[in-house]
Amino acid sequence: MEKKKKNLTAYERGYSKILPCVFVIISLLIILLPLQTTVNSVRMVLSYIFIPQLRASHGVTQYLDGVNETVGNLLKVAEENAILKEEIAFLKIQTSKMESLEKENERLTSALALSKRENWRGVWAKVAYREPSRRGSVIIDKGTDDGVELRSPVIAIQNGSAGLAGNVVEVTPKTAKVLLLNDEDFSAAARVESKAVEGLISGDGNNGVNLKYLPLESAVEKGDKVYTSSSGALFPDGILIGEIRETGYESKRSYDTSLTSEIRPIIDVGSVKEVFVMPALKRGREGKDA
Amino acid sequence: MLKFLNVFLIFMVATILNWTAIELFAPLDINIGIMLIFSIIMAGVLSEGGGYCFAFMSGLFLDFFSATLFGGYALVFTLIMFIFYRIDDKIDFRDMGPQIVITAALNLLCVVLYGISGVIFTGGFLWQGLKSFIIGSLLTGLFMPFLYVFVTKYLLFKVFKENNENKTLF
Repeated sequence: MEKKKKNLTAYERGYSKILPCVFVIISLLIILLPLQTTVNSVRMVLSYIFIPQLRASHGVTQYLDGVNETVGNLLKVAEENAILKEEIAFLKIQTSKMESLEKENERLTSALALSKRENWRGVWAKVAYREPSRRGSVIIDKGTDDGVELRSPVIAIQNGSAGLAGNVVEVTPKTAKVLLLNDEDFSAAARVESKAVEGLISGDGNNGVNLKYLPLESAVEKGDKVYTSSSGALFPDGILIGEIRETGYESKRSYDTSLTSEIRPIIDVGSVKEVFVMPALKRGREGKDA
Repeated sequence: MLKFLNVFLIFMVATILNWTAIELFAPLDINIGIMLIFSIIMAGVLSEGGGYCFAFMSGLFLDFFSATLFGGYALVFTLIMFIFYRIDDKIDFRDMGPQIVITAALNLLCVVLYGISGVIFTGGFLWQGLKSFIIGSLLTGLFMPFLYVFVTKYLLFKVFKENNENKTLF
């Protein structure tokens, strides 16, 4: 609608002055004249004429009442929906926590049973931090306050089997750093169970472990189990490391003086969550009781 | 003829909305001036003669359904239109602010003038109550922008929008 521009002619100006006066006079006449009977008759007629509008307005009112109720219900539903979504999210978190706890419980139960059976002494610790850039070490949540010492052997239990995981290389009162056996800097004396030959294990920097310096005549075979040897003075004797995956005969060169075999570790150190830290070996004492 | 039909249609819609407002707000003792809103809107659309006619008919319609002073609303609406046309060229009624303020003020004036006409013609002030006077006027003002958009966008025929400059009676 445009703003009005009043360019009225003289006729229109007069007309616009007269018109309100005419309507005022008519209004006054309606008020003053005794028209009650006529008004009542007209009112009756108008009532009939306006019945459709009355019905329509009643319909509109009912519709608006319904809208009000519907909007109210929608708001209530939206509110309930938000609450339920929050509850679902909370329950999902709880379920996830419960599943995690259940798995942890299973792991710890089997680990506890195994540690009792083997009569090990030491302390259980959780992996608190794993460096994303370096896969060969982890930080555990136990330190000197809990009896963890430098060079303490660290074992882990997976699928009901206990195996060597690494050893402590740094320790603080509350935490300790464990060098895992897949690290290139890790080394330990090891023996092949059935052949009574010894070598030195060290990590290959990935997930594998090599058993080096085996005598050429050792005749190791695939599947032979490899254990720690007490001759290294770092680990107690008899902790399972893994089994021979590749004997090394295949890649042996003519000038080699020893064999290097590949070992499949019994523990997947990349997924270790809890470890058992044994006391560091000292002269005349071992972590494993006889 | 088309303009007359359009005005008649708008008047019918106004009556429906007026009764709807009565049905909704009467339990709260609040009177919304729907017919006044439509009279003001149509005063902006129609020529001065048409605006007076629409306002007078709107007032008369209210008079037929009020039991107190027959002709009172017709008189008051005519006076309100007279005032509106005096201020119409000084304000831009397309803005929401002036629409709300002017309509609320005119509704207050309407209630007062109707009360005074009651004093003159019936011997008693026709008072609707303070709540209706204040809240009713405020709500009337607030309804104005919505109804203004509703009427100008959806109810007005093209013929009004095209020939706004050359107004005839309708």
